[in-house]
Amino acid sequence: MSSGSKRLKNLQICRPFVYGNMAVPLKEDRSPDIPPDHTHSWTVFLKGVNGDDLSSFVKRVVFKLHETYPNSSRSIEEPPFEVTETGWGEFEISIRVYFVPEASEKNVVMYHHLKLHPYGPEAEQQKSDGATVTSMQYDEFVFSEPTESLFEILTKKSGAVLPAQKSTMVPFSTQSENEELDRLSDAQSKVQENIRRLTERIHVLEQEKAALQSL
Amino acid sequence: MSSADIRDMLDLPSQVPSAGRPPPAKRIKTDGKKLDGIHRELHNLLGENTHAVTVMQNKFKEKPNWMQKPSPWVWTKFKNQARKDDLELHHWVRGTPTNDEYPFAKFDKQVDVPTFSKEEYDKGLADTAWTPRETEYLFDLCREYDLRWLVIQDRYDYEPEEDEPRSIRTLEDLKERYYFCCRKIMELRRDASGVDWTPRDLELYNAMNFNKDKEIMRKQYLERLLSRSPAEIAEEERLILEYRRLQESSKKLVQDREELLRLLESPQTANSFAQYQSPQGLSQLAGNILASDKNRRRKGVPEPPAQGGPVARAVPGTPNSGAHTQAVVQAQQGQVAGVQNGVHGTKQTQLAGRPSVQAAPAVSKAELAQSATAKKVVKRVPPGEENHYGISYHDKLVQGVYLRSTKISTLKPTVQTKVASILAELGIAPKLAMPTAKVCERYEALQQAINLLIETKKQADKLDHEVKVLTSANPGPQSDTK
Repeated sequence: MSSGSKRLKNLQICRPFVYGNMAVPLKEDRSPDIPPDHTHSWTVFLKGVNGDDLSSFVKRVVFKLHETYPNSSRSIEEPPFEVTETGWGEFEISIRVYFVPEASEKNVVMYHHLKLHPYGPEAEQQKSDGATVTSMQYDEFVFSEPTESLFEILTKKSGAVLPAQKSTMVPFSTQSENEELDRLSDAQSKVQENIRRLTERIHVLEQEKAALQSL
Repeated sequence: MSSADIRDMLDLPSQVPSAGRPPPAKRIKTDGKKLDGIHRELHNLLGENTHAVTVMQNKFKEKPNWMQKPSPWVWTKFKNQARKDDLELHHWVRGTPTNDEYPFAKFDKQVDVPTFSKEEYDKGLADTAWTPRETEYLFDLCREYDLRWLVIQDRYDYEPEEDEPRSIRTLEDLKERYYFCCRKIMELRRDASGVDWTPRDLELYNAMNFNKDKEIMRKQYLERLLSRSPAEIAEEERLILEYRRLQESSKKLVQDREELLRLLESPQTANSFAQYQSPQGLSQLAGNILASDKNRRRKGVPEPPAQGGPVARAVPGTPNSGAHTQAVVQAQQGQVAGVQNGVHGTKQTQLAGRPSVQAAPAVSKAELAQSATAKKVVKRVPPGEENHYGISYHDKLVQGVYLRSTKISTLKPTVQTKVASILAELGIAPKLAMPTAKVCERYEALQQAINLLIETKKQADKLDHEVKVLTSANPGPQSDTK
């Protein structure tokens, strides 16, 4: 149907994705074009969960690097949506995602702090290993009232299913989701317990106050 | 604004390009030629550019050449080719005389005044007021003076013969006669030869269409225009201005009238509005409008322009429209298949239960639209697989795309810090590891619960404090407490 631009009311469709960076320290056998003060080679990327192809609804991704990089605004028009560079410093990269014209949607922007040095509890160990440092963030695009064409694109292939198990390649899965859900439920029950106790205490106090006042 | 622009504006020295940035390569022309003295200085001053326009001013005459021998002047005879006689005159010519054409001969242009034969005259040119002799005299004069009418009129001195009446010929008379004859001649010649006119001939014919009365009047007008006094001119200007102003004000009047009429004509109320004239009636009316507005928003139907006012959706109509909506709901339910059924059914019954309902056609239209969307979606997505695509249905949606991580609600900053500290105690990170739909929902719920917890704690503390105050005040006078 040619009326692909009509919007489907009351409908919301979402697509998960992952963005972040990987970094690896440069070895001695590096090409001579790299300036001597660069210590790491890093790649900032935006990709789908499960290695999904986002280019069906993502037209291009613009990574804005630090100004000191030549052509600091890198526009990637086709998958894989990633930028590989060398450097020495950590800075904030803005990632602007433009959607295909059928979507008739404006672009969304997210920020990612580039991580080069190992962090977390195993920082020391990783430093000596010269291991790859990764910093990734899971997020979801939520399309409210999508156009018909966008809806068709997004439903052609199932895209919202998360892999069941966690693995080194795919750190986001239903397993991790469930873990988080469990954590949240635990917290919720604790809070409820506290509320209950407090309400009881309030009752007691009110009774005391009434008793004292009537004296 | 790049940093280079800002530096330029503030006159700061240009930044040393750091390792990553290559220096802007501007192509510098290196000419091979050596520049000396003034040219080198100029080049340094001007840079690459030379001025676009050079102004040459010849303030001085050329230096006279003293060395040359002067060329002789010769007293020569010459003939003017424009003259019919062989008059020979003399003039000085510099150098050797060339017998070229006399330079002023080319200015002798003649007007083609047509000549007519006696037959032609008898055929069409005869006129009561003009004799053939006089006509010929006129034509001769025209030929002589190149159709310069003022001169012709001045020189016109026709000597009539014995039997002809003597008449004063005005300029208009002469012109009229001349042009009439010319046209008649053109016509006669065309009819005689059978060759039709060229477009140029036609133009000429039309141009010679002389209207004596009009010409006389035109000249009178011009005379009058020229002979206005300054006072008259001022008066005329003033009148023109006033006329324009009146035009505009009348136009404005018409526009205002139109608007007023439009205003008066718009919404005609079907029922009387007497019931809404009391204060209760007014509040009732306001409530009706609000509720029907909400209804309309929910169904996603655009506002009808002037639907006979809110009165059309009057409260008394509720039981009827309620029943109607129910019937429509059932009919729609029969059509819709799949998961949508349950969702839509409940929604529609909810809406039907509201006190004031929209006009029936609008309702059914909205429902049709909804079920149309539902039908389309159902076709493509088998009901069970909605989770695979991340599809969900909501009542009220703002159009657009967003990241789920951005939509976690924030509270007031003071409250937010307390909530954050409690979350930290509970072991939940401030940023969600996996903001999926379920996770976000639960996170929101958790935040609300924590909020509630804080409130209850506050209340408990307050009561605690009061009790303490009371116990310490006891057994003192009760008026101190509270």
